[in-house]
Amino acid sequence: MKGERMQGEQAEQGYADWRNVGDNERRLSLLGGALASILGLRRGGPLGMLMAGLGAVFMYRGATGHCALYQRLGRSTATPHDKGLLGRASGAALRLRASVTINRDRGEVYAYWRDFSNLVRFMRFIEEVRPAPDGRSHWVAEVPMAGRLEWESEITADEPDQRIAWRSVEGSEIETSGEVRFRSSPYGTEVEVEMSYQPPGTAGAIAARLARSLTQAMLREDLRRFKRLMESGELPSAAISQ
Amino acid sequence: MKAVVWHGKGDVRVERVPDPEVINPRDIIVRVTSTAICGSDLHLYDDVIPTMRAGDVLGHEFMGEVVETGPAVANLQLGDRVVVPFPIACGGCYFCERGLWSLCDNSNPNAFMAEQAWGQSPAGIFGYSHLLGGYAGGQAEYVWVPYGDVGPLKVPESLSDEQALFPSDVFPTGYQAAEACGIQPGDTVAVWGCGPVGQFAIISARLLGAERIIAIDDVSERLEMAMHQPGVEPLRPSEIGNSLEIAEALRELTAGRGPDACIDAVGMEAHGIGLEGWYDRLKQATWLETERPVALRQAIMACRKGGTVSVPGVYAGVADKIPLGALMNKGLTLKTGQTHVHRYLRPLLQRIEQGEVDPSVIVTHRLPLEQAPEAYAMFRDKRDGCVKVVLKPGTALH
Repeated sequence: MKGERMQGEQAEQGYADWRNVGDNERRLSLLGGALASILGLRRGGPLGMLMAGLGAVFMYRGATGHCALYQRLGRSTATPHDKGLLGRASGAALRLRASVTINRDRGEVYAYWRDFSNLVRFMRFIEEVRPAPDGRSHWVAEVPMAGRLEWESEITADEPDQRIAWRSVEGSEIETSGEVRFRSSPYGTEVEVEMSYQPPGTAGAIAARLARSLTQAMLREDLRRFKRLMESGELPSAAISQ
Repeated sequence: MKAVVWHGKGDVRVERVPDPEVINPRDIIVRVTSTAICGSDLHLYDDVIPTMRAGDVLGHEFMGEVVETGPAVANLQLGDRVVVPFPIACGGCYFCERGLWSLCDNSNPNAFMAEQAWGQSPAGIFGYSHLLGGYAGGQAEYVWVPYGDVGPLKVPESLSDEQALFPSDVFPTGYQAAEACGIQPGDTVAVWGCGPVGQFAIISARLLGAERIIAIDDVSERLEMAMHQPGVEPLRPSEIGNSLEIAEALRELTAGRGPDACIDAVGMEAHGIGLEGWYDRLKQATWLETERPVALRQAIMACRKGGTVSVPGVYAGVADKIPLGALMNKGLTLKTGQTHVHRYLRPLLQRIEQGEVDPSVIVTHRLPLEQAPEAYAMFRDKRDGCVKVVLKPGTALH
């Protein structure tokens, strides 16, 4: 299953790495740049042209999320873990949340997730989950550009067919917790997942890299794969034509 | 193997590409014996469908022999002759279970792309852009068919390829469109577009009890073909005038009521005339509009109050100046969708076997796969009386 890299994933990852401007800043940049362009063009003359030119640059970085200057300086505001303009990261925990509807009974869906070794089949960056002593589990993740991470997790709640919660043990390389809830519906089972990640320390390249990869979109795609495995037993991939 | 490969607007070539392989346990590989060019392939040929890449293999209407099966395929054996539905369906999701096969949740690996375009993703389709899965198509010597235990159906020995091929797409597309009209005995149905889908919509409307069918097209050969069915009368838009005049003409033909149901078998690249034609072409060229929904506008304006507008014609993006006021205030029902082919395969093959319909009558050209480039150009330009081209791939692989 790991071999089935969808074409979209590589494109997504490449963009995630290239992006170094945070979302709010992008909006400001786009709007401010547009304003500057318009005013500059109206003004005319060399100063006006300069304004318009700068406006264009700001519009570009707003639209694409990539700032050449930031790249030069090794800065990024893309995620809370990146070294911002002033060289400091906010270090806030990443919280992700997504849901999916699966056309199978709640019990079956719960049982599949409860066997954590199944998680590697649909979680993109998880390489291995194996049982560890004292009812814990040992997780191994491989995140592009952030490298290999390992930690132990313990289950903090297990309500059969309803809810599973887990959390990394004290002193882990990465602080992570998650919860999955299962609810019956006329469409099968509604699955809601919440996850949070907190790399130790505040800043650090690893933290920033993690934040780029461990995104909302990633969690949604993980859940889409989960649904597909449960409903059709396999993951679709595009045939190779070129 | 050889395959028909897209290289850009108006540029298809027959090239050697890697042979397909079984990847998942439910896959099969089909050696293609006959494959057709669809009207919707022309949207790819004209480069109005986004996410195409040079090297993509085209084609979604195909049939042939099963030459390899994954370990989980129990219902098919090597050597079986099968026809394959153009939408790819997993059989296990909410939509597949309810017979809404072209809405399969799981067969589009690029679902995230389609979600951005349309909100949710429909099923993947063979040979129809990366937005719909990036699957290699059936205008090739071999095709990789996922969920081989769900889609492909064995073809009765008694039917020739040309009799069995069209249930893969155009026949059920016309049939679903006609069925969506809710035809009552004595009804009049207007069909825009007398290409293969329109032809089958007309045949199906007849089978479903329509008394009069108004076939709308400007190409003589297509109107003649349509009029082989009883109860069909022609209407040539170029002889009538603009959209409003066409709607008026349709009301006149129905003693002031308008047709009970209207089928748009034209889709996004309709020919508009006069000002309307220029408007849509200009907007499309400047990317302010991605479709030219001329036939749809006419259908909405002409349809009788409380009637049904049925849309098998393919649309991809956003369109302009749709008469929403007419749609709403006349209480029209708009029925749309890609065809749920799997639902119709068995019943339609049965009708063909029993001699009720002979789909091979729409075939006007039979060519070797290698002549696909000429075939596409001829089909697009409607030259040489072209209505439907069937391509035949070569024989052995090695």
